[in-house]
Amino acid sequence: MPPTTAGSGRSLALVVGVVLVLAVAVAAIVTSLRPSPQLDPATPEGTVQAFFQAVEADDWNGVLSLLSSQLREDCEASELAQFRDDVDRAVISDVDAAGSETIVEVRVTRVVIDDPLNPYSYDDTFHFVLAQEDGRPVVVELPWQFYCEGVR
Amino acid sequence: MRLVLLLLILIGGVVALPFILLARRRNTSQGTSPAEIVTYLILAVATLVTTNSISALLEIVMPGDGVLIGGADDLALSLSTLIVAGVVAVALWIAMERTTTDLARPARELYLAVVNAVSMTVVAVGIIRLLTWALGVTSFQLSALADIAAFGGAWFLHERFRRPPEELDELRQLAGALLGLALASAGTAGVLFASFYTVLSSGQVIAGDDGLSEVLRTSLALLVVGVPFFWWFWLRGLADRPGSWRTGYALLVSITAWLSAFTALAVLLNRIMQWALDGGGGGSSSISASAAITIVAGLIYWHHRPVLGRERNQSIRIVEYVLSAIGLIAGSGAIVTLASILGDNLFGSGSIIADESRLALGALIVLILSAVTVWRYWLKALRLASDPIEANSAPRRATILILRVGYFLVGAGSLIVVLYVLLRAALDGSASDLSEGLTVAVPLVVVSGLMVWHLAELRTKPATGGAAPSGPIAGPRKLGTVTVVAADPGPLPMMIHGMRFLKRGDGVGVVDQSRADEIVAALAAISTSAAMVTVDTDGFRVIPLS
Repeated sequence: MPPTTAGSGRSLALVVGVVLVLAVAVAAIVTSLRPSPQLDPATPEGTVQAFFQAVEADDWNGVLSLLSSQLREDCEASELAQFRDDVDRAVISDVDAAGSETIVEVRVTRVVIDDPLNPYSYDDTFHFVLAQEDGRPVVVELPWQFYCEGVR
Repeated sequence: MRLVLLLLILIGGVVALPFILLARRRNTSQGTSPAEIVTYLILAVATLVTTNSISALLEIVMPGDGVLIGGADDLALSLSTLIVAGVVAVALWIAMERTTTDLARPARELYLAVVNAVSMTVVAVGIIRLLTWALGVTSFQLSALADIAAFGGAWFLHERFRRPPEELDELRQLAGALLGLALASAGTAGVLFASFYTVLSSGQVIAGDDGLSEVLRTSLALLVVGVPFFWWFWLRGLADRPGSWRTGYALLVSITAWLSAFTALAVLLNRIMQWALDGGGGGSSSISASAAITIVAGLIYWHHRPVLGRERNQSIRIVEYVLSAIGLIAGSGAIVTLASILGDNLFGSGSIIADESRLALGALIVLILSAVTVWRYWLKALRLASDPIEANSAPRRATILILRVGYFLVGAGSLIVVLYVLLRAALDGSASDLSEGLTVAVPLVVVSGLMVWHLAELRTKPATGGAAPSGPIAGPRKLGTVTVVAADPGPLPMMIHGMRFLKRGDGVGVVDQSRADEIVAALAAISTSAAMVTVDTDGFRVIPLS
């Protein structure tokens, strides 16, 4: 291959590579800024999603409203607010029906990026137990990560 | 008590005996032997242990602490260590000094440099501890005074033992320069941090101390000690002595400073972005710290990099190829992170919360900084590949080899993960976990594969337009044996493969980068297959050998 052709081929590869990397970067940022699909709040999965969205928004009264009447009596918003971790990604990993109750398992990923050159993440699993109350699913058993003195 | 002391002295004597016998057997006409180096290193350990014991004893007997009663254990330990190590140190020193001649003794100089370097470090730390006490940051610690007295004495004593010709004096200067640089840069960064934090932090401190005053006073103590060290050992010392020690120092500091600036700048930009996104609340502490480190590390790089020279020599190649490698690795990591985020968002199922924007922005910042680095250093290196000296230089070849092996191993490991996930899904008949396992592994395989291919292209088809020249890089023609007679060959061993070196005993003939380039050019111009090069104060001479 003549040197000029090889040189232009290399330049083309460089340009294509740069464009591809830019496209991936832009797409990653755009999709990461896009809100997650909203699940039906009348389902256990939708209730759990609303729970995490309220946690992310520090709306602890909103979190309380998703709990059963018994849990609302036993828990206070200030106790739930002790949960301080950021949730970067939450994925429903399992949904099991156990009689009248539904167990929703959520895998939560938290990312620590104090140093962007060395970010790290860790996963945690949250177990929610939900049941129907007043015609809507509510949380009857909180994951252990949320502490309420009246419950334990 | 006397019996115990006698026993301890006896133990010290027995430990020292083999080394004394070894030292006495040494013929004065012999050069530096491994046994002599080991003996002097043992002497250095014994001397430092002895000095430390003296420091501990001083701390016990100094007025004001009142440890004499109840400190029997410490006293016994310090005394026994002092007796054994002291006997070994004194006996070895006397034995080694008897064999000393007027010739240069590198092992002896190595000993002096090690003891002086450790002593000056302990003294500097002791002075900083005293200063921080005087400035009200810490409480008074008697051990600081004891360390200054004991190790200051050892430093003073060993300075008096120095005598010309000194071949390893630069080692002492290098240790002092590094110590001064570390202390002065930490002090400067502390002052800058306090200034930035004062400007950035909002709200008035109404109770307690915000800690800035302590930071400022500690920084002042670091500067008071560090600046004189840096001025004496670097600005007035090593900086004016061209040679491999100065080059090595500047090389190490340049790379470390650049890497620190790169990392701190990435953190700074990321924090500023988060700060802006969060509406300006919090984060002023880490912004201030990373800004201070970026500025100080940048200044250190700016000061030390020119020491390596202006024209592209071997030292500059080492720096630029190391920075290229860092840029390539960091950039690859950022691309993999962005691609995995994209994969998670496109193919991940069951997601109820997905807020990876912080990670994506962090990766984007790293990608931009890496791209600038790659463009500045790696693309420049690729453009220079048509030069046979560049194409066959050791830093380039080593960088390509290390990167290829590294990327290959990462790619192979990731490919195993990809195959494992696919086979598991095929055997289980379920594809539910596919996205989870593949979003990181697939980008890793692709990026590593592309990098291995790119690096393999460089190795098999260097941009020389033909076959790569083989043999030494000192010219287009293969040289035979080159013997260099000088006091310090500088970068020549890295530029002439298989070079022989004869060290001048009169200390004349230090080869710096520009002189090395001239010698290589002169060697390329001769017609014989072997040559001898003698380096003097006013130049060099190439003698062709048949």
